[in-house]
Amino acid sequence: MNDDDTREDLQLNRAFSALSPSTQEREHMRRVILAAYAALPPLTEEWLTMLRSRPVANTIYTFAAAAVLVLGVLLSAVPWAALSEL
Amino acid sequence: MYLLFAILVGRPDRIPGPPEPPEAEVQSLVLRSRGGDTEAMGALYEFYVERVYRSVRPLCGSAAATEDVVQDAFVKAFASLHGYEKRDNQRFIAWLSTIALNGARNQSARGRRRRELRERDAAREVTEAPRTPESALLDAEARGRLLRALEALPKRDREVLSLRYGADLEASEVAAACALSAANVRKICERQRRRLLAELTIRNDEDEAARAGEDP
Repeated sequence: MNDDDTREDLQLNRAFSALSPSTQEREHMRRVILAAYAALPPLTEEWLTMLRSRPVANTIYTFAAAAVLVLGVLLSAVPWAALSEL
Repeated sequence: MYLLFAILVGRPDRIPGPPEPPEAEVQSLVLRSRGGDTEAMGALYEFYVERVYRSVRPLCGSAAATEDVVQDAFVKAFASLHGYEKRDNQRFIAWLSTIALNGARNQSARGRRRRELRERDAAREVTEAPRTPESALLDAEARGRLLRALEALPKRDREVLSLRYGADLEASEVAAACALSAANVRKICERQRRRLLAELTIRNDEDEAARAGEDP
């Protein structure tokens, strides 16, 4: 990168500073962001809400996922190598 | 003359955010924020809000829409900090800018509440004026000139320039955010940078000539 490129980069960086938010806008956004973050529901609550929206289907999905998980754990605990030598 | 100074040096009445901290400090703030420390989140916000705002302002169409996108981006980022790993030396600002860019793309695709936002902007222009009339006018002119010049560029090039010069990202970081190669990003910057600067100079001259014409 030569001196001209660097100078032009700098000029554009400065030109973009015209787009900065005003102090009031910055403060307003800060308040909104922190309030919105504080109001975010915890994951368990979100999950329960999701479950409540379609109770039958989502309960079936949840139990199916849990069953697959349990089955996977049980199958991984089986000593397949030892069994194959029998 | 002051106008040219305002374009090249930026607006003196806007208090700039704090300088970017060393990456180690950023990572420590990220760790604290992951644990729900709102003070650390506030510090991250202060460090990066200007760069994120500048990078999406040319893509959003209005100041109010930009505010929405920036707010959404920060809330999303804070809520999913566990998903941010400092892999491949990705800086926090690059990760955050990518979230904001995606938000801006979705926002402009939906074009939601556009009229309402314009009305809100207009109302704010009237109510928010603690600055001197002259500096407010220069602010608005410089901002308008840059936005109009950027508006004339293809959308992809506008995104590249906004991330490169608004968020101050490296070419490789812009490339990752826009799914382009770093060489391509450099080429776009090289091609459009000169065009944009020439456009800004012409528009500045036009504004000055118009102002001279108005003066008795």
